Amino acid sequence: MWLLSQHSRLPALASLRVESVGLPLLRQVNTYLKPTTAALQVFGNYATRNVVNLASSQLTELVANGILTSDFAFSSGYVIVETEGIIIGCALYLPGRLISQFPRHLFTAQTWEDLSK
Amino acid sequence: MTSRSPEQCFASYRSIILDFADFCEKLRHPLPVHLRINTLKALVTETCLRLTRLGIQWILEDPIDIVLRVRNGVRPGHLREYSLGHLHSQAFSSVLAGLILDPKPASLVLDLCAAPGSKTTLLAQLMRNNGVIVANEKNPTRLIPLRTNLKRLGVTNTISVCYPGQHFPKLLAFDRVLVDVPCSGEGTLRTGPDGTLRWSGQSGSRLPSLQRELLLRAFDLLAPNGILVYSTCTYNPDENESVVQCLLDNRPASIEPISLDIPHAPGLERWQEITYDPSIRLCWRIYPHQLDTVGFFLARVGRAN
Repeated sequence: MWLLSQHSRLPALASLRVESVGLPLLRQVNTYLKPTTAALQVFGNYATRNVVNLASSQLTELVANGILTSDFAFSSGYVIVETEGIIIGCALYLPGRLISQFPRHLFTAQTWEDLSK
Repeated sequence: MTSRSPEQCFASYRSIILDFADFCEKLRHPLPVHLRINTLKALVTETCLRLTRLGIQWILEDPIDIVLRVRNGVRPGHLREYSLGHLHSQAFSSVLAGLILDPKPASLVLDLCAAPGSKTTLLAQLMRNNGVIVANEKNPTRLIPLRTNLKRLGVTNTISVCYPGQHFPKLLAFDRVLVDVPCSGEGTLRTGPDGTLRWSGQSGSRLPSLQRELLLRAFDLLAPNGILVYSTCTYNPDENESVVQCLLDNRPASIEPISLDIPHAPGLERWQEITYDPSIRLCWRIYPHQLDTVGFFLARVGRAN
């Protein structure tokens, strides 16, 4: 599912051979809809719940291992990961563990090192 | 990479570049690193603070308050802020192309040669993700970096399409058209970290012909009272003023003044045996000894109602 800004002349553009539109918003995973990290980074700061604020060291662990073992006061489901006031992306919370849903390219080895700064 | 000196590379431009020695001297120094702050995802003040905290020295490029110049040696792609789409590496002169197009939030915009998307994403930023941008790229493999940048920078108002720009279908008219054409890239020639001159351009006598075709088609897609910007990163008049002259000779186009307070040289009045329309003086030539960035040519073109 993609998000595209509304415009009165959009119908006229439908005659073009379109390759992609707007920003990916949701993906279907089994029977669930998973918000994309790309969309959360734009709109996640409007969320009022299901936001997990991680310390830098926790985020480093989540990025490095793909999983962070910790209990949070959420029910199971997708959550928004934030650190130092910055929305990082999407993770899946299951009791006792947070599983990264960040795209692999989001953090290169170099940017991953920067996380600890 | 070239083994020739700047004086040898650009000998034919000695008569048209004021302070030619200063120009050549500047090319012996590395290109500064410019970063655009993507205000679709980040605040200028907070981003500057974060860079300071990382020990990165920066200055805001006056009068453009979204462009930072950072000390050489900084590798933007290694910054977390880059991965998160808060920053984008973009030459200062490239930013100017988007600024002088001046898209409005409700505009319908065409970026005819869009990949890798630096200017497209800037336009989205200026439009605050409103309106619609059609980002065209004729090469399917170059759509990949375009889409990656659109996603990384959080752009929601862009549709990507894949047509040869000179054959883009005339199905509708756009309020703004940016045509940043493939060019010889002479403006990118600078000394690299290893001390040798580097040139990331392409060559070929077909370029001016392709550029003329692209500009004519771009103009045909422009709505009445619309604005078009033609840009290159080359000093070659055959790819700049001569292409604009072709437009003036064949279409009801006018060259509009550019109202930014940025150092530049005017468009040429003549080149070799050719005398150009006087209005071409309103075009901008960006030289690195006047503005330390990639050399550029910019033309702001209007279409009368």
